[in-house]
Amino acid sequence: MTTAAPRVFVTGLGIISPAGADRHAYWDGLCSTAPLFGDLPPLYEGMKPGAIGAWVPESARKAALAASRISAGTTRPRMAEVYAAYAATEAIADAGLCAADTSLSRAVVCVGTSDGQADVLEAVCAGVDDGSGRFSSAGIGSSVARVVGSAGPAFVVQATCASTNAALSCARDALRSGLAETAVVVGCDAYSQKNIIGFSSLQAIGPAACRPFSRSRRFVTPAEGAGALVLQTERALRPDQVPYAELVAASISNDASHPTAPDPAGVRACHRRALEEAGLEASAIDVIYAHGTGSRINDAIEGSIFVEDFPHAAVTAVKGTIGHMMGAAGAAGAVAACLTLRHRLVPPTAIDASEIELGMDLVTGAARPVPDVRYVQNNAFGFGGNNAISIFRRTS
Amino acid sequence: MFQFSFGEVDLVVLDIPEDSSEPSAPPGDLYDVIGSEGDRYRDWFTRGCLYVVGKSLDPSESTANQIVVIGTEYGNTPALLGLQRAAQSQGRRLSPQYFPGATSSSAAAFLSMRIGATGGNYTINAGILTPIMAFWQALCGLGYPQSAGSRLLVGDVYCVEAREDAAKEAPELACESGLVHTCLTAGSEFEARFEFAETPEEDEAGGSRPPRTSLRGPVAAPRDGYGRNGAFALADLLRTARRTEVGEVVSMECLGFGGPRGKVTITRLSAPGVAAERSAR
Repeated sequence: MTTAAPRVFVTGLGIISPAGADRHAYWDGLCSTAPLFGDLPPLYEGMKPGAIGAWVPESARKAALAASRISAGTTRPRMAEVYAAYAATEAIADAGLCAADTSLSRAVVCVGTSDGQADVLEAVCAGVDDGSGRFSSAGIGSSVARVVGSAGPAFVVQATCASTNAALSCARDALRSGLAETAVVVGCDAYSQKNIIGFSSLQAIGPAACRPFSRSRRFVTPAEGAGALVLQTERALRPDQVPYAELVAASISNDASHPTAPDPAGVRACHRRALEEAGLEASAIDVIYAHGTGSRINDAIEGSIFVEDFPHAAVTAVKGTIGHMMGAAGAAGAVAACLTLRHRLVPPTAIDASEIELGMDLVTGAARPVPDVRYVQNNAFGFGGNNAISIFRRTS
Repeated sequence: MFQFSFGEVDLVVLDIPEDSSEPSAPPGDLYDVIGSEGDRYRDWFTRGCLYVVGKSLDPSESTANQIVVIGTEYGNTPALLGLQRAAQSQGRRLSPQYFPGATSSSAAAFLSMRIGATGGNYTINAGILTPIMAFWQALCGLGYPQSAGSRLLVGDVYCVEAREDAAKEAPELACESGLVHTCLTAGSEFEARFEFAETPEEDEAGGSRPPRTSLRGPVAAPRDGYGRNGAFALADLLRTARRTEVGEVVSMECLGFGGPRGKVTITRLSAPGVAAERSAR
């Protein structure tokens, strides 16, 4: 990379989540904090009944299936691919683009996912070949490229629950290195039996919903969905486009210490990297979308960093409302971060203020106006020591 | 365009019978290199990644702040399947130790832990174009502010289910198991240029264009006959680049199913340093 790196802007958003299909339903869901959770049926003898999860509602699922036309006629649709295509389609429309647009014909497509085509792998595991297709996750990238009309590079990035922020960093690399002027970044994961089994084996899911940063927090609430962002360089922006934000950092790091437990030094190092990339002090961050899984250890480590280094930031954690969208969690945070910059509003965390364990400024109760908001940070961490943080700047 | 240098090019090939998911003759020094702790919960992809890096790692080398980029189509699929099957067969006795090894990026995580690489990791799947995209991402990583180099691994260790899945797309492409590894560093020995385009699905004669990977360069004979696993073409690309004279070029082109095409061209910019290559079968 020998020339000055171009600035990168977010011009379109799309999302499908337990709050429904499209960014309006998502934002309304985040701001209302109405419960969106249900029971997870036990998947094996060792899994206790009554565990809590969250799904894309049936109406939204049907809309996504109809719109994407992926897996039509099969008994087991590839739902991560369906959700990804749906979110990408919404995002390019939101950016004022369409699949025939020349700015998309060479776009980079970068998909972050943890469990990829989990449905197909489950069918293979069950010894059922129902014609639902291949389980190689590369198919998700190809499908998204097809629906957005791109013949550019399309690939999938897998970094557990940090996958979407890792995908954002790949897309930023693509735009800054001149590989493309437009990128479509998608984070997606559908309900994965393998994942539920894994979380159950760690006793990380159970009969209480996710309560981020609460003294009484105990369990993660697995969820599903996809979120998408259209990124464009300054050169590619059209006069009629009003970007949601400028992407000023998308940094990754690895703890290199433990396969499941986060390491405070590693998580802190990722915060440092993101701030350095953005050229900011911690005090410049106005709002943080926390990873906030509701697990004892994640929230303790993340929360203590907020208290020590970001005492002035308003913090919120959407997993208490929509659950943990796994590889798409970073997409849920990124889309919400951009909507915060657009609406100048921070959705509340779905716990009572009296429950907050640490002394951070956690937004609770009702959405909080932030008229002067400039920088919003989006945290995503995952098993395997994966840390990834993106930072968005207001553009107007 | 990227300027870079790279170290040893290591290739590990695992012979896996058609009806099996296990190598018939694993490397004799496997457990000396990767250790046996927790091995019950590792699949052959993770073992292979740990082995190919462990064989070449200089203990005095500083690996902190390196990034790990693994390009793979099927990666830890056997562990993903293994966890689901273990849940059904073991029920309440299912060990929590299965799960960390059964994510789609477990190999990258365990490799980062093993070598202390804190730069972050990417596990990348671009189908047939996987070696191109992983190489590109590893080069991008050299530009990160704290970068101390990029560990690039590409390849697959095919279980039965992965071979069946691959055959659904391109039954004509052989699935030979193997992994290539090198460490990219900032430097000016080589330059890499990437091109991406779409090729019409049909050739000039109206026939379908099968996926393929090819190599062109001054030192080695042109080769078109690579199988599905991008490890072998990437190993040849890097080793051929090692043998070039200043100004000579070598290129690898990958044509994916349905038309996507990626090409990387490496030009030698300066005289060779210490050329090194190793392989273990």
